[in-house]
Amino acid sequence: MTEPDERPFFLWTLFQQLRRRGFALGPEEYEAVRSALHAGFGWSSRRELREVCSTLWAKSRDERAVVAALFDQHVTNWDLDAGAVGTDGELWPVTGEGPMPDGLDLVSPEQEPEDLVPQMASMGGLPPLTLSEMPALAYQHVFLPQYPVSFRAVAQAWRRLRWPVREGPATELDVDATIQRRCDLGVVSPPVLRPRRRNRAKLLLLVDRQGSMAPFHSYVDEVCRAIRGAGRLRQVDLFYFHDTPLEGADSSVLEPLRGQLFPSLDPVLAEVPTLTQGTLMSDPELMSPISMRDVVSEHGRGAAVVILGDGGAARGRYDVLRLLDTVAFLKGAKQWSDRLVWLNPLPPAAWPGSTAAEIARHVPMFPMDRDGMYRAVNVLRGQPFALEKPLTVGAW
Amino acid sequence: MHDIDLSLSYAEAVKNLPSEREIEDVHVDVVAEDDWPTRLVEREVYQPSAELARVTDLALALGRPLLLQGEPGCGKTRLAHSVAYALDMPLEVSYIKSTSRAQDLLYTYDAVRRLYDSQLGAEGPKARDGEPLARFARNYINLGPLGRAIARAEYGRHSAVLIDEIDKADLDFPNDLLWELDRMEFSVPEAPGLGHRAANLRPFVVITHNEERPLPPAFLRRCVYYYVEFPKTRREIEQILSLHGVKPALSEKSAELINELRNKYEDLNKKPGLTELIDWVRYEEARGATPEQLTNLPDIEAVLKDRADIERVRKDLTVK
Repeated sequence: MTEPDERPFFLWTLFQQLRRRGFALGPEEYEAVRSALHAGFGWSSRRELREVCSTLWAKSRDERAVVAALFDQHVTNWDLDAGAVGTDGELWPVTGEGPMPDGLDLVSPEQEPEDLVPQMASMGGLPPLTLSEMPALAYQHVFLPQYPVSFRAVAQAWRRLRWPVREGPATELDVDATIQRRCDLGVVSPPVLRPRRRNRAKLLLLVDRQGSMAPFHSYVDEVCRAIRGAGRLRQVDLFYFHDTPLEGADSSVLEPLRGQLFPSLDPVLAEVPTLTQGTLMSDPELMSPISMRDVVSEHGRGAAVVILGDGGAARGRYDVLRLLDTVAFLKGAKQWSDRLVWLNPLPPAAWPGSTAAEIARHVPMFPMDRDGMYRAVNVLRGQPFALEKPLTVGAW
Repeated sequence: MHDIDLSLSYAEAVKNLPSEREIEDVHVDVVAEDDWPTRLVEREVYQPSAELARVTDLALALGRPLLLQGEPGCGKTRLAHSVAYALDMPLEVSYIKSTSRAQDLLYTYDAVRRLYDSQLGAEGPKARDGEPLARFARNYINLGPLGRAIARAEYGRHSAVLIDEIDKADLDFPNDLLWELDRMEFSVPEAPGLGHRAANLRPFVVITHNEERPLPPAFLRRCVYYYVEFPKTRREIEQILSLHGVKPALSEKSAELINELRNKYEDLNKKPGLTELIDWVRYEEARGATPEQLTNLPDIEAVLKDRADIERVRKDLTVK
């Protein structure tokens, strides 16, 4: 690839800006736009040039908006009459002063007629502010969410959750069985067919909603969407709760702990009752209740269970009642599912001192990043995980 | 990087089309080097926007696959048919299913049939030269749509390939096609020596995508991307309708109605696309409806495909 010459070249700037924003672009893509220009595309108007850039560099609707916005921002004075094909066929459009003009110089104050500018009367002794001192930007801002883990990475992690079962019509040739049968019978025999493998893994997602989870709603939704959309699981069900999946465990078991400031649940752990009755919510607004018994009977049996919640880590408080309810629920869940993990949108560094740290002693808890999700799937796949204080059901 | 090929221009070709054309038949077992069978194909009624036509030319020139995204029923799939017809190419179509494998696009190997045949020994089916078919694996290889297009390119002939709804397939499906789409060559390991390689020209590949699943970045990098939108102006809609033989009075009224529907009810569960509109207007025309009668949106079930949507629009109509 030839390096752009000393003259500032806005395509190069635009390319660099896009790369900085995580666009999957390489020299080949840069070359593609150059070739397109050489072939005569993108010369008739500024709009057409922008179209060439976005068709070759953007790969989704969102990315198109980014390319268009950056194009408008960095290609400020691309003028077709002035910008020209160089003398020796070299295609460096003339850009004027430079590729990145400072934002505030884009609109000069005299362009805005003074009488149209809203004025604020100052109540104190400060001089009034006029909008003409803060000229509007000549380009649009595009805001796109950037999550810690991309949609595709989440999908890839959860795709590893497999329970392949052969079912359906027999269409695949079973080579081993065919050879075996032929050896056994000693005469020509028809080939043995078998059904294809299909994934029968089921997943039940229980999502903590509202309160301290509010900042994570959009990220958690994205993760759930990715797991649902791309995980290729047989069935993914989603239910919501607030703070603890089920509430109302009998708090009288805490009696021996009376008087302690931060009571540990360990001395009474065996006495904590199992909690299986109660309601979850079937919508993210927590408006439509559904009984836990229905959830378990219709969606829970044989499913891997994932709880997405901060477990109190967002506020950093230790709440023994919340811990009690959570432990009671986890004990109850053990009765109908043997695979359960907890994903926490907060990193492990934020857990100590809060209820989350205590919960993490009883159930495998992982941060909701790429690595954490891989480890969570490993546990759901059956990899042993050493818990500090595993819960036992029916031990008392 | 392959050479830039400016010999084909869809934008030019689509301006003036004959009503039918003799185009190479794609429903064949083997791609012939010469004396290929042909088939009479009728003109594809399609009106690309100027932008889409230009993007298509860009993809043709650069030899990259054209990735189309957009609302259902806005003509993503029809574009491939239109390009193939306009540029006089055979169109190879591959509808992707959840069980599709990348290799199926190139070739399939019928191992079971070969096993059956081989068990019959000398009694089994024979080739023209008297050799049993089962002796050679290549007798049981069937080229897939992309495989046939590459074979045709090897013999110096163009073809268009439509890979429809690629997001229906497995997450890795697009990645498995990277090499073949890039190099336009493949070999068949089951039958040593068998394979094809596009020489100087490249098949034109159109890929449609419904945003069901994200595609891998490495795959996206190699494509030219375009988002097909519902026509923005009423004029465009009227033009498209008149291409489909709808009379001006009716097309004018229905274009107005569909625009009103799409703008007024921005949050419809399923926005009506062009396909639905064309179906509806053609039906209304056939049964002799007047433009005034259209105002009450008769047979709206052809346009709106969601119960809640239909009820909402109906309710508003009665209030009016």
